[in-house]
Amino acid sequence: MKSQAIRYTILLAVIIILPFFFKNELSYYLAILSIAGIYAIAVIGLNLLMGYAGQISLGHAAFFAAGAYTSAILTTQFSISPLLSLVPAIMVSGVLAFLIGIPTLKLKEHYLAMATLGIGLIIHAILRANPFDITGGPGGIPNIPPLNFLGLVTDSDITQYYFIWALTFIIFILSNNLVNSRFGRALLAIHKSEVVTNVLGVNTYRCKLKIFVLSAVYAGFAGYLYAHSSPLFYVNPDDVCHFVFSIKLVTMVVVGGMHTMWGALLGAVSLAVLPELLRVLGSFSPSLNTADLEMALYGIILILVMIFTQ
Amino acid sequence: MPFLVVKHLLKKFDGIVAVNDLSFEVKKNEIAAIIGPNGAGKTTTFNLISGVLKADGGQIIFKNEPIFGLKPHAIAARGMVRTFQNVNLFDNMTVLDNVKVGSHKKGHTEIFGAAFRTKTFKQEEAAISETSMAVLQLVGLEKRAPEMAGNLPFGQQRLLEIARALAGDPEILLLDEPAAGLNAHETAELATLILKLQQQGITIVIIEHDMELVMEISENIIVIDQGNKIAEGGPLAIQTNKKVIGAYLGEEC
Ligand SMILES: Nc1ncnc2c1ncn2[C@@H]1O[C@H](COP(=O)(O)OP(=O)(O)OP(=O)(O)O)[C@@H](O)[C@H]1O
Ligand SMILES: [Mg+2]
Repeated sequence: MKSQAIRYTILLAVIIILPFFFKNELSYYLAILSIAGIYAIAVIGLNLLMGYAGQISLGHAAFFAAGAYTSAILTTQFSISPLLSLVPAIMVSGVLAFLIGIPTLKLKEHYLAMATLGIGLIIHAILRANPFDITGGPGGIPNIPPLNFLGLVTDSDITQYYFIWALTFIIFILSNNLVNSRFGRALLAIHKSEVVTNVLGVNTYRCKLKIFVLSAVYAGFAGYLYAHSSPLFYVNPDDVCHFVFSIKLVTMVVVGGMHTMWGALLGAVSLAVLPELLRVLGSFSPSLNTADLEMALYGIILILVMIFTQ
Repeated sequence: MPFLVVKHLLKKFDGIVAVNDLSFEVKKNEIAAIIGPNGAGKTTTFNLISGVLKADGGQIIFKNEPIFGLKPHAIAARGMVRTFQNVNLFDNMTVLDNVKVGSHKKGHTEIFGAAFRTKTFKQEEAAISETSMAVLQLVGLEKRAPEMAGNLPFGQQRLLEIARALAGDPEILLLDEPAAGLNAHETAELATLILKLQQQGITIVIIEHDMELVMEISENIIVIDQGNKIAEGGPLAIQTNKKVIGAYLGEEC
């Protein structure tokens, strides 16, 4: 318990002092670190589902997108304050997961993987198709307002960075608390053997449904933050709902080792800065397509982890 | 009045009849044994009673209520817990946490309480830790509490599996070959433990191949062969029963 408090303090200290390391191009690095914090929230949620409960979602971007688009639509087209669009945003993500989870979680594990894969592709297609003329089609939705929480406006890079990482930090602690509990133990047990857990008196189906919805709410919240974050204030289907993004989230969880929340946090941050490192690499060799390289790296990472954690 | 009643239980696995018109009763607080040659349908019977598999026919009545078709957790909630023939621990968790999962159904706190460490949550966790340690003490594993379950020697893994089942305060405990893989000393300790559990008021149904153990502790023995009940009675009657001897000799040929 004591060492846990020390680790939290160190984490908090790192979050606070990190911006001081970047003298040049501060706003560029702050934007990247803010995104890393947003990813971390989604990855912490996905880690609860995958690392703890052992259930795989291959379409988590859909829940991220649900949160991002719901808030983007409400704030740009209905002029609702971002403060009020938060609840609808995460609710849409949660309800979507609930509807997918009810039938599929009754079945074996890979059904959830397949269903989420499908829903990710479907939501992406819907966002692009723009059926009710509210999603902006492939071009997405620009000019989303910044967050404004009780006078705290996240329009500057530094307030945004601290705001997002404060949230990430709180969510991290709450999630760590969550896994060290009756509910968290049930998740780990389900991971090992659902039948045995069920026989011992745990309603495994309900546990799985709860954690699936919760992890979607995390993703929805992360998407919500993303939509309102500088410098883009912009969402489009490929950025928030692409299959590659779902795989990226899974890779972040897997890189983190799937056993601890700390791993999930590290996995999220390290892969969030990876494209930036690749971009630096790409500047030396103009013929290099860094986006393709990034994808290939995710694939390699996943394969290596699968081989070495056998 | 019988505690557990199994009537005309039927289970087919594509083609073969694993359990055929099986009926038996277990009295409250007795130790009953189910024996029979390999593949007789003993484990399948447990799977049907505990809701792991759905029967193709028959009735299961526990404490005067039908439990046929209920999900395993609902059956556990009514006071019936089982162990598995192949040790099935959560080896990704500590010994203590394994037992705590067994007590899950007695707890109430949910996601919110856990995330925000509410007072009720802390109280409940403290109570869970205390009762779980008490259960470990009962089976003699209290010193192993912080170790990973997978690191225990086999005999202790069997004990842990029983402890985990006990953590849910079962009224009836179904043990599937608890002595398999144990040495003579460990088996003797197991017998003592089972008798102790009976004294605490728990009803026990045990599947076992170790005849010495079965004859020592059971009051009623049900013998199955190829899914059919071929005999039932006390240890003496079963030992001298011609059909039983035949079934076991037949296996040896
Ligand atoms: N899930 C299953 N699917 C198909 N067949 C099964 C299944 N479970 C058991 N069987 C078959 O049903 C029959 C009874 O098996 P069961 O495991 O109940 O025997 P048992 O009496 O427990 O034997 P043992 O003493 O070896 O444990 C066997 O022929 C077995 O192959
Ligand atoms: Mg068996």
